[in-house]
Amino acid sequence: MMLIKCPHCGARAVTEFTYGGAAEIARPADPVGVSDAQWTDYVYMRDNPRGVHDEVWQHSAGCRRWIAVRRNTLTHDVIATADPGKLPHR
Amino acid sequence: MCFTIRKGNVSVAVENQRISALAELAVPAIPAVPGRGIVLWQRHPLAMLNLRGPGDRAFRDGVRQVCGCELPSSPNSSNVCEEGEILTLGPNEWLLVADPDTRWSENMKIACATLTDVSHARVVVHVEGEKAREMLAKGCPVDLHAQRFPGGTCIQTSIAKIGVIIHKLHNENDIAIYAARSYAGSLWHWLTASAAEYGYHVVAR
Amino acid sequence: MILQAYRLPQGGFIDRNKPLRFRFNGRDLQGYAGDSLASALIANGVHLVGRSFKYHRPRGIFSAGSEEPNALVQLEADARTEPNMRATQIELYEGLSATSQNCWPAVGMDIGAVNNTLSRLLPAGFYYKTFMWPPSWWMKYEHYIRKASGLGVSAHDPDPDFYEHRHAHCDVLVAGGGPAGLGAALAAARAGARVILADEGFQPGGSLLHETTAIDGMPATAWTRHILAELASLPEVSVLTRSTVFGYFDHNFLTIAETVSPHAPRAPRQRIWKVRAQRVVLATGATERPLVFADNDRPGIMLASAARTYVNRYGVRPGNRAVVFTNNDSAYLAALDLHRSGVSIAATVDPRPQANGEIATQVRAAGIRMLSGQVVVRARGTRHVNAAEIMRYENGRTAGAVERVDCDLLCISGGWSPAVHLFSQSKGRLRYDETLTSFVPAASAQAEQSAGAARGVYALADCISDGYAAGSQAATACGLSPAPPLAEPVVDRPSPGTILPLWRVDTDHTRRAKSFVDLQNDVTTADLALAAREGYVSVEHLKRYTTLGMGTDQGKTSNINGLAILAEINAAQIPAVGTTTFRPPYTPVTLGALAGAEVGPHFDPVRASAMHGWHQQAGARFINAGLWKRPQFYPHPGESLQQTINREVLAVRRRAGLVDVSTLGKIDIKGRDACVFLERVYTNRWRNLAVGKARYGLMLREDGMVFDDGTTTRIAEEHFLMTTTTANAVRVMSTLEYWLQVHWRDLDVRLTSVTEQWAAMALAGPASRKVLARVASADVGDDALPYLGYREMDVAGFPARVFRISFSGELAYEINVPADYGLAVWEALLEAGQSSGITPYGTEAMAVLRIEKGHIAGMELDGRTTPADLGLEKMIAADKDCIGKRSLALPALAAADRKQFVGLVTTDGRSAIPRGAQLVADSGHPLPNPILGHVTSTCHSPTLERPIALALLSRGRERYGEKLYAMSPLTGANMQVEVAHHVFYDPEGKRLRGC
Repeated sequence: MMLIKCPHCGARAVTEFTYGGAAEIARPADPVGVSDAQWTDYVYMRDNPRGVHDEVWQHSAGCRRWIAVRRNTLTHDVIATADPGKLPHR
Repeated sequence: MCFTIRKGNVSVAVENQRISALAELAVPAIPAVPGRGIVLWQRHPLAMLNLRGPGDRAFRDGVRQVCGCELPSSPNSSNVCEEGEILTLGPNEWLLVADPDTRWSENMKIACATLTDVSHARVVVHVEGEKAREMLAKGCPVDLHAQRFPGGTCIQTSIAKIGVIIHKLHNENDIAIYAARSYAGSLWHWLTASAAEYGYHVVAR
Repeated sequence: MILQAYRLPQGGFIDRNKPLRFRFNGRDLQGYAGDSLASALIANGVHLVGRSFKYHRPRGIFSAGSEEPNALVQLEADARTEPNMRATQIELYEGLSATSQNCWPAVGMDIGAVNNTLSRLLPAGFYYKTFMWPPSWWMKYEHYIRKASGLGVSAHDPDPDFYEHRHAHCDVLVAGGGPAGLGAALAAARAGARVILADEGFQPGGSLLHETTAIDGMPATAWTRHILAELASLPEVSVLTRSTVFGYFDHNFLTIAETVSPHAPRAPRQRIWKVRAQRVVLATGATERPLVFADNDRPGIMLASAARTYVNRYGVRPGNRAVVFTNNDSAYLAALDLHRSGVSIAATVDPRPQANGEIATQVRAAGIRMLSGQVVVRARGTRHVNAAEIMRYENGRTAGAVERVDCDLLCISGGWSPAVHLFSQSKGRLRYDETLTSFVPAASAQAEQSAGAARGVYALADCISDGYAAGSQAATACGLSPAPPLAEPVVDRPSPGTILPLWRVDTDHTRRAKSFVDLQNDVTTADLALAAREGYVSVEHLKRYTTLGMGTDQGKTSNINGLAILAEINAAQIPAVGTTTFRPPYTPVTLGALAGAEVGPHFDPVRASAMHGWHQQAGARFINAGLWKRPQFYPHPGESLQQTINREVLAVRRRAGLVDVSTLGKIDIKGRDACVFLERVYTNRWRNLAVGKARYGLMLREDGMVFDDGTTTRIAEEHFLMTTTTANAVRVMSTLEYWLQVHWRDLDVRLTSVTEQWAAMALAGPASRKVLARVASADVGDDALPYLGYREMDVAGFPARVFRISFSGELAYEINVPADYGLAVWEALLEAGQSSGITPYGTEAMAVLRIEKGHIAGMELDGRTTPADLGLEKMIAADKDCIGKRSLALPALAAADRKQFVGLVTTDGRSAIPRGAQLVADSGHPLPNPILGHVTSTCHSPTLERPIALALLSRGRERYGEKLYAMSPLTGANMQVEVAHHVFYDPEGKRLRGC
């Protein structure tokens, strides 16, 4: 069972967290101005990498903060956690 | 005090009519099995305020001036002062806990602060005794060992799928459990079932 | 009857002053405290313990530990019965009762044994080959196959015991309490580490319990007691016995199954420990491998180390005349110990030309007949071994004449395999060691290290030292300063010679006999050869095809032999064949333990409102709404369900009703940008909402589907109170937090869930204003509190928030009071309404009221409906963006033939429309009948006195008045319905405005 280090509460079991999908999915600033294809890409299309993946999780059983988690989907290593948008550059 | 939506004061008479969610459960009784065991008691009624703010120096100063109590300085910690207790819930969220006659209120003016009255939103049960930590480990996934969880620590986690705040008082063997009011019955069942192995009794404090 | 005829006159780790009575297969027997069931059976000369899985061959006690494939028993009877219990691990207790499994009518005379005679008809993959045709018969076959196979039976009665889980945290978890484990625990503990030592036995010590050598000048058992005493004296050390570390998961999370001592009062029967360890030391030891030869499964054949255990630890004689067959020196220790205990050793048989170790020399010195360069080719005897047939072994072939040596005990040893199960579960990588002829841990994947026999270090002194080192390193890795180094243990034990790999004894002489690789699943060398011929070259395929390594023992004694034989057959290297995946649990864990305390009504916690006790006393029936218990209806004596619902509905329509709506989600929204935030998350406008006013809001997901709805009230300029549906309360809160914390970090908005703070009740019906006025401190007339108005006031003397909103379509008020006042206010309202005929109502009546009004609810918010589908397109403000709005312009969401929200009535005005019914144009159309839509909500309307329903129907709004058919494949119903507008009652909304 993975251990995720909440930047606010410390290391906690993954069962305290709720997965929120890929991090850094930018919402188009002007939704009306983008094509259907661009909008669909934003809403539906996600990478599914084998390896390092930046994600957002909510510490739903703890401080309820959403956090960014850099995780290796293959080894389950949690490489880094931070406030959303604050992960170091890869 | 001022723990309601109204601008005026709630009379003491009304406050006295509060019915705890544990009113029919946390009834003081002679222990069925005497012994060292576990002591359970409910802290009720309480005044509780959810405090939001940026957590910067100006904000901390404001809280100190208005509340007469310092915000805890580190995560997972609490501060106890004359007026009441302040528990850290998150990087910009705290819980103010006091007796109902406190002067702390939703209407306190603290720069950049948001206060919301949640006095009725939680039940608070204290678990006391040498075996308190061992007993809580039946459901609490967080390490409550004194090395990792000294007096004054407060955390949020789940016990038996019930979201809780666990606050260790400065006495190592006195642990307060906060749970949402609607879960009171299930929490009580879990506490008493888990304590049965050691023997427990319910007291009024 | 002679009591314990096979008990040695002295010795063993048992208490001869504490005799224990027990019962096996109906026979009353006696053993001693400290016995296992297996040792007590051996003490009484009982060797035939069970029948095998497939061929029903007689089987005896094969090992002395958790690797036992044969001696599985049904422990106790009735509600407390447990199947497949390893007799070798059951701690004997007074009154124990056990029976053999997989035999009928009795273990000595078993009808299923005919399978052995018919065995040529039961090859590997037999089930797959035989019972697949015709396919439709598989279900029938399966019933009988299940009956004929299988092992024990589970209890049918409710479990009278309870179970629990325990979370634990430590610096160092040591799995296994043998020489290496004790050494590791001691070194770590002396460094000040928090240590958990878990051992599967009922006495910790592992192989030390049958060790005859002295350690540091004292007997091994005394040394063990000495270490355990020191560990017990340290406050941060826990030694768990009867506790198997059965799972090793991510990030050093390990699970332990503990069977709680039967002597502990008020304690659970079993306990699951969930341990998070900083460091793990795997001191899980090694398992002795059998040798594979013809009829190697007969009772009386056992692992050499097991024979040693029975003699030394339990003081019982597993036989009178033994043959020891081994390819390595460890079994010579068994020969010596048996010899010392008075068991005559008929011969030792060793394929090696010359046993070269010092231990072998001792055997020779004891005058024991040693047959070198020879192998046992076959065991004789059916219900018990009575002789071994021996041949010469030259260049990997048998040769010469067969010599028969009489014996009633055949001890075998094919070498040792480190118990790498937990290591492999931790994702560590294995390496094949040619010298040790076994897989050993190579590279760790987690903060873990193996010690002692678990990594192929077998000499006793080396095991202890290796444990010391591992414990010390683990403590250092935890940031502790290591204690002064422990002295190297002084052990008087000669070093062993080298092993000769011998995976199977293959000889023409015994071609028609069975040579078992996997004793539990009756997998023979012939099965492996057949599977290889049929192309099952992958070891994972081989396992599934032949069942090698399956079952309750998961092949602990068969895996390595099996894959080595597969390698031989395929002329491949063992490392290339590889092992099957080791998965948890290491040994079987009961479902009761896994469930823990979360069973029955406590499977999930229950949420109850402040008025719950009142509802109970009023006789309410409850319905689950998520974790909440909500009053569904309040039946009066003699009423049918429909009568109750009708009464409650009509009370609201005609007089007044009171319903508990505390479960609705309530979110306090504060901050400078609260209004901006609402404009982004709701489809409609919020800027123009005045303080003291409420508004209905609609929320979408980003894909354009309706997510949730509810009313939000502006309590102050920068303070809103949002309500959500009960079902979505948690999801909405989490989603709002997501947008604020991940995407809109610049907005000044603070969200606080206040669902639990407020008890909420809806007072509805034409008389509701009159009722409320009696207890309200403020004017609740239409001018002071108009439709969608909000006021704070006292209700029955308690501070309250009063909202003029309606879900029922009647004049109504929603009253929120701090939860501890909820009951008092609820009772006060009922009292105030008594003269007006006020009636408490539940979720059933509430549902009927909303269906009559055509309001959407959970059934319509199924994640596939857009605002336009639901007739709510006017809720979308044209001049602003919001979550999901852009998606509504995608072609699929704007298609003309989408299903739209409509009402339905039956044309006969009587028949109930079944929930989930499909709508078709022609009920007689041949299948597949094109489906136009489906019924989402249905009820009998007491107000309209006819059944009505809500539906989602393709081009529904163009079909008002059209006649269709509602067909339910579940109920078989098929009725004509007419499409109507979805608002059946008071479409102009005059009543809720109440003027």
